[in-house]
Amino acid sequence: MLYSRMVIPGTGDGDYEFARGTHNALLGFPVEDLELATRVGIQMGKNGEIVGHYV
Amino acid sequence: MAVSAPRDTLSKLIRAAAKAGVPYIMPNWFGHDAANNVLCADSFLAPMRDSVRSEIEILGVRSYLLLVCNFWYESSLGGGPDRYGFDFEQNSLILFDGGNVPINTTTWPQCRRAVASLLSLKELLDDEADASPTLSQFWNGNVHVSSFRVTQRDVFESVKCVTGTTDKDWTITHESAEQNWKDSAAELTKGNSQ
Repeated sequence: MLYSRMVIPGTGDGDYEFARGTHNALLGFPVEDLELATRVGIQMGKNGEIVGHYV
Repeated sequence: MAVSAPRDTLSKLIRAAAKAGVPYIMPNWFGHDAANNVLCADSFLAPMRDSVRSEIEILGVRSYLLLVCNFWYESSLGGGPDRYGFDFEQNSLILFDGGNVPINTTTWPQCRRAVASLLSLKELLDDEADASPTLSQFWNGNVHVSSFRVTQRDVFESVKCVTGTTDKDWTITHESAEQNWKDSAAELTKGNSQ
């Protein structure tokens, strides 16, 4: 429920970067690697390391 | 804190922290844009947000800080098809409305950096000429961080790249996000959440 609500077209509700910006630069964050994060997510999922169930 | 924790756990933690004189509390939050009242109301998070904030203020804690990071990337990608839509056992994907809606999402390392960075900031500006970031900028407010601004299709491209698959290896089904939300919300309201 949380997930589908976040991606309803036309609301922009999940895109707070567009609406408000982020504090990434202010806090000195690096630019991250999507491929690496994807690899980690898939691996953890397949290994059963991700617990919990949102609604 | 687990979603399944007793409902008053957060309140107990806040009261304990206030009693111990903790100056800043970053309460458990789902990462949603806390200033977006419609989103929070539709996601059944507004009452929790409001009661947590007022409890922190009433108890005289210096400040709350809400981390706006949206969903965690790793657990939303790998945690089953009812999150970002991917099932890696079945190689299936549920695309909402064509999968073209961009959202922010944050990795666990980035969330850790957010908390660590905030804790390492000095509290106040040294003087008028000081332009460095301070914790006071965030007092009783929301901290916005993000790792990626992506659509489901962007994530799918990344998944195919990492897994060495192509479109023909995946079973894609299409749903309306709005309908899915309405159906789930109706189930919740009837008290049927799993």
